[in-house]
Amino acid sequence: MPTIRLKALIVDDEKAIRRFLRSTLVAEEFEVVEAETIAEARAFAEKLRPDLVVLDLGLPDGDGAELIAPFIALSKPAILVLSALDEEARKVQALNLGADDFITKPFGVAEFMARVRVALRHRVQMQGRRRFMMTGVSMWTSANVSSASAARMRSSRRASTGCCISSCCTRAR
Amino acid sequence: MTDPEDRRPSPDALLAQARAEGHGKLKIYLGAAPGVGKTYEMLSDARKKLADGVDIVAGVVETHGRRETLALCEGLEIIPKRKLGYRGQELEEMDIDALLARRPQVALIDELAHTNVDGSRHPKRWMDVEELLAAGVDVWSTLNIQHLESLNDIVARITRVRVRETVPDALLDRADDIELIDLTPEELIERLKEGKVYAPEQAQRAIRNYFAPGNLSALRELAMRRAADRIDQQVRGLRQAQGESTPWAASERILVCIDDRPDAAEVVRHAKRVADRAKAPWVAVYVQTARHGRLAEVERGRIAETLRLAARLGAETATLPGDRIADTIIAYAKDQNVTQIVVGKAKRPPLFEIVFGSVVRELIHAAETIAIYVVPEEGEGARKRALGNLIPQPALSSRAVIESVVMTATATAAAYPLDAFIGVNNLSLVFLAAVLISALTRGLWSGLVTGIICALAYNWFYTEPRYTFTVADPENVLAIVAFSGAAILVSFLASRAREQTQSARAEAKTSRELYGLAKGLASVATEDEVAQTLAAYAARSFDAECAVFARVGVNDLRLAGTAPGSASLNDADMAAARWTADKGQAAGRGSHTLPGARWLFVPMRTSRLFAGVLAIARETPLSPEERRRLDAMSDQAATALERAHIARAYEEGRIEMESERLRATMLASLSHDLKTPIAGILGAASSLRTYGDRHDEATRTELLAGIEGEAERMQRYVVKLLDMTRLEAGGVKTKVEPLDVADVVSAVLKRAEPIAEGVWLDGDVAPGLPLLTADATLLHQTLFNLVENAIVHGARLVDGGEVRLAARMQDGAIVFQVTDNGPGLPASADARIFDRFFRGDKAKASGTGLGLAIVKGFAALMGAKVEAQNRRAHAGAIFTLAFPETATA
Repeated sequence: MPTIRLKALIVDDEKAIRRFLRSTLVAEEFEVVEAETIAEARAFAEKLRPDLVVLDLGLPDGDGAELIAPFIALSKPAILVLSALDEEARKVQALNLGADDFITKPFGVAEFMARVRVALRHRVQMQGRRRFMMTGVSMWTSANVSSASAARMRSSRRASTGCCISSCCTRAR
Repeated sequence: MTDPEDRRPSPDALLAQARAEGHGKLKIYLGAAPGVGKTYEMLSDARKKLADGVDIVAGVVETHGRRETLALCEGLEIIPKRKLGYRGQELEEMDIDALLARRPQVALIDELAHTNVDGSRHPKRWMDVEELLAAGVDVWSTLNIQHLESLNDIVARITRVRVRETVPDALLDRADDIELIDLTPEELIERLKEGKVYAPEQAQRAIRNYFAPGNLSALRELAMRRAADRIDQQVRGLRQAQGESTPWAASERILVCIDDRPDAAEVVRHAKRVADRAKAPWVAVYVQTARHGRLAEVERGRIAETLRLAARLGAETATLPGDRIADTIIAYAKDQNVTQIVVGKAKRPPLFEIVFGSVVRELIHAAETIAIYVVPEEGEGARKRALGNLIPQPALSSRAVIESVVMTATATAAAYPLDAFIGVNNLSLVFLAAVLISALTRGLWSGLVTGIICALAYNWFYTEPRYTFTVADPENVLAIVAFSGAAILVSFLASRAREQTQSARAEAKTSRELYGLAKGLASVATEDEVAQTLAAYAARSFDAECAVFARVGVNDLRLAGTAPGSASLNDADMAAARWTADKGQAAGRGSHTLPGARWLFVPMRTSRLFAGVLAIARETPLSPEERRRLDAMSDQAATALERAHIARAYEEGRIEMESERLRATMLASLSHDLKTPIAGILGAASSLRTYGDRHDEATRTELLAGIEGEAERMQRYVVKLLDMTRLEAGGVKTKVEPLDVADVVSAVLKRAEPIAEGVWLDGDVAPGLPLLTADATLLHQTLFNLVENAIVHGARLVDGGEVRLAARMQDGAIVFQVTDNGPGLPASADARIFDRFFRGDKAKASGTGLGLAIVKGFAALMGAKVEAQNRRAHAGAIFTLAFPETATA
C-alpha cells in the first residue's frame, strides 16, 4: 500500500542548513523540496501545496516573514520559522503573522523534529478547532509520533477540508 | 508681613553656607595693638587641640623673641620657611607649597597682614591664607585692627602713623571665628615697661608715640566695635540661613564717585563705612570723560587702583563713559536705585568753582531724592594740585610756540589788506580765527599762547597809536579785553571739541579692533584657529607678545596659539597660567598674583565654562584702558572658544556614535557569520548521529562534506577577523622577499577552488614578468580575498560565472587584476567598498564585510594601491592591485 507522505518545503539560503534539514526530513519520510529565495519558495508553494514549511527569515531577496500569509492562503501548512537572530521582535512578528513555532539556530535535529511535531499539532488544532480537536489531541499527544501516524493525520486532515472555509474565517478574524 | 513663602532661606545665603562648607575655616585672633598676646593665645589654643589629636601645623609663627611664646612652640610641627634669593640677599618666606602638600587639618599662620618678599607667589600673606582655605585647610591667624583696610585712614588719624600693610575687610567678614584678644591699655603699657613686647629703649619710645594711652583706648574701641559688628553679622547670617526675613530690606544702595585725586581711596573707605553702617550694597563709579585722555599714566593707574580697592572692600565697580560727570552719575544712580551718593570734595578756591563749575554742586543740584554725602579732602597738597590738574598735561613745546608765532604772523598779514576797508575793532575777528585754528589743531595750550601773541600783535599793529603797546582809545582797551576773553573761551571750546574728536576716534579704534576680532573669530571653527586669531589680533593691537592657552579636560591647559612667532614661556610662566586656570583670576604682571612675572595671564571664561587663558607680554605694562580692551577681547574669544569646544564635542560625539554603529555592525556580523556555519555543522552532525542508519551512503557523505566545508568557512572567517584585528592594532610585520608572480597566482587559485562552487577560475600571468618584492603571506591573503570577493559577490550570482586573476606589467610595475562577470559594484558603494563591514547589497548579506577592508590594509602595508571599478564593455567588476615600480626586483 503506497504511503501518503507529508510534503515539506525548506526555504533557506544557506546550503549547509538545507542539506541537513533535507536529510533529516527525508529520513522522517517527508517528501522534501528546497528553495533558496522568496521567489523560488512562492513558485514551489503554488505547485507543491506543502503541509510543512521550514522558513528562514533572512533571505537574500527579502524577509521570509512576508511568505507566511501567502502560504497560509494557499495550503494552510504548518510553518516552522528558523532564525539565526535571536531577536524577540522578529519571532513575535512571525508568530503573529501565523507561524506555528520557531527554532533558533544553531539547533540539533532532535530538537528540530520536536518543533516540527509541535508545529504540525498546532496546525491541526487551529484547523480542527471545532470538529477535530479531540481527535487531534489524542492522536498527537501519543508519545512516539511515527511517520505512519503522520500519514493517518494527513488523511484525516484531507477529510476535513470541507469545513476549511469556516476555520479560515476564524483565523481571519 | 511674614508670608511663609518669604521665609525660605535665601539662595544666596545657602550658597554662601555651602561654599563655606567646602572651604577651610578661618579663625582670626584680633587685637588692638601689638603685644596684647594674640600669638600667645593662638599657640595655647593650638596646644589644647593638639592634645585632642587634631592635626595642627604652624606655617609661620612670629615669636619676636618673646620667651613665653617660644616655650609654647615646643612640640608643635613647624613648616620650615622657604629661602628666596632676592638681589643677592637671602630672604625667608612661608612655604605655602609645603603647607599645601602637608595638608594639615589646621594651619597656624601668624601676622595675617604681612607683606611677602618679592618673588613669592602672592604679594600678601592673606592671599596665601585664601589659597589654603580654598584648598580646604583650616587657618588660624592673628591680626591687629590697624591693618584692616577700611580703618586705615582712621587709624592713621589716631596714631599719626600710616600703616602700609592692609588686609581687605572681606577677609575678616568671611572669617568663621573671631577671637578678640583684649588687654586694657594700662596692662599693655605695663607689659611694655616690663620689656615683654619690645626691647627696653624701643619700648620707651613706643609708649611715648604709638602706645600712648589715648591711642590704645581708641584702637581698643575700634577692635571691639569691629568684633561686635562681626557678631551682629553672624547673627544675621544665621537668621538668613534659617529663612528669617532680612532685618534690613535692601532698600539702601550707596554709590561712591571715584576720580583721579590721591584721596579717592579715602573716599572709597568712607563709602565702605557708610555702606557697612547702612548694611547696604554699594557701587564705585568712575566717569570717563574726555579729560581722561589728558591724565598722566600715574593718575590713570591710581583710578584703576582705587576701583580695585573698592572691589576688594566689597563694592561693585563700574566705569561709565560720559560728557558731564554729574549728569552721568545721576542717570546711573537713578537707574540703579541708588539712595546715597558719596563724593569727595576737593579744596578749591571759590573762583575756581565759579569758572569751572563743581561736580559736587551739580550733583546736589540734580540729586532730587538721592542723598549726597560729601567727604572733605584732607591733608596738604590738595590745593597745590587743584589747578595743575585741570590744565592739560602735555606742556608747550618750543615747536608749538613757533607755530603760534607763525599763526599770529599769518593773521597779522591777512589783516593788513583788510585794514583799509573794515574797522579796527572788526580786525580782531581775523586774529580770533587764528586762535580757533590753533586750539583746534594743537590743543588748549597752543590756543592760549596764540591768543596772547595775537592780542599783543593786534595791539602793536592795529590799535592807535600804532607800533606801540600803549592804547589811547578806551574803546580799544575794551576791544583788547574782549578779544582776550573771547580767545580764552574759544581756546577752551575748540580744544574740548578736539579732545572729544580724539576720544571718539580712540573709541572708534577700539570698536573697530573688537569688531575686526569678532569678524576674524566668526570665520574660524576650531579651537586652534580661534586661539591663533586671538593671539594675532591681541599681539597687533597691543604691540606685544601674545599666547593663548585652550582648556584641555577639566582644568589643564594646552598652548593653542602664539603671535608673533612662538612665545617663550618658562616653567614659572606655565605655573602662573595654571594658577589663572585654577582660580579663574588674572595672574602675572600688573596683577596681585606673581606680579613679578613677565607675562600677564587673563582667564577667558563665559557664563558657562572656563575656556582658556590669554597671556600677554610687553615692555611697558598695560594701561587700565588697554587692560579693559584685553578683557573685552578675551571675553569675545572665550565665546568663540566655547563655540569651538561645543563643535568639537559634537564632532567627537558623532565619531563615537559612528564607531558605536560600527561595533554594532561587527557584532551582528560576528553573530551571523559564526552562527551560520555552526548551525550547519551542528545540524549535520546531529542528523548523522540520530539518523545515521536511515541515511544512505550518499547522504552521509554529503553531510560530512558539509561539516568540513562549514568548518573551513569558519576558519576563513576567524583568520580574517584576526587579520583585521592585527591590522588595526598595527601588529602586522612584513617580511619582504622576491616572489615569482606565477607561483603566487596559481597558489591563490588553488586555495580558492573549494569555494568556487561552479564558478570558473582562470589565471592569466603575462610571460616574462620579473620577480616581485613583497611579503608572501600578505600578498597571498590579499589576492585570495579579492578572488573570494569576486566569487561570492560577483560571479556566483550569475549563471556561468567566471573569475579571472591576471598579472601583468603596466608602466614598469607589476599589476594584479581580479575580474568577474557578476552584476558589478552597486553605484552607491564606490567609496565605501573598502570600509570594514560594508556589504555591497544588504540583501546579499553573506560574507564577512571584512575581506576588502583587509585588502585595503594589507595593500597599504605593502605600499600597493588597490582600486575597484566596474568593467566598461561587460558586466562585472575589476579590482586592481598595483605595486610601485620599486617593488620589482
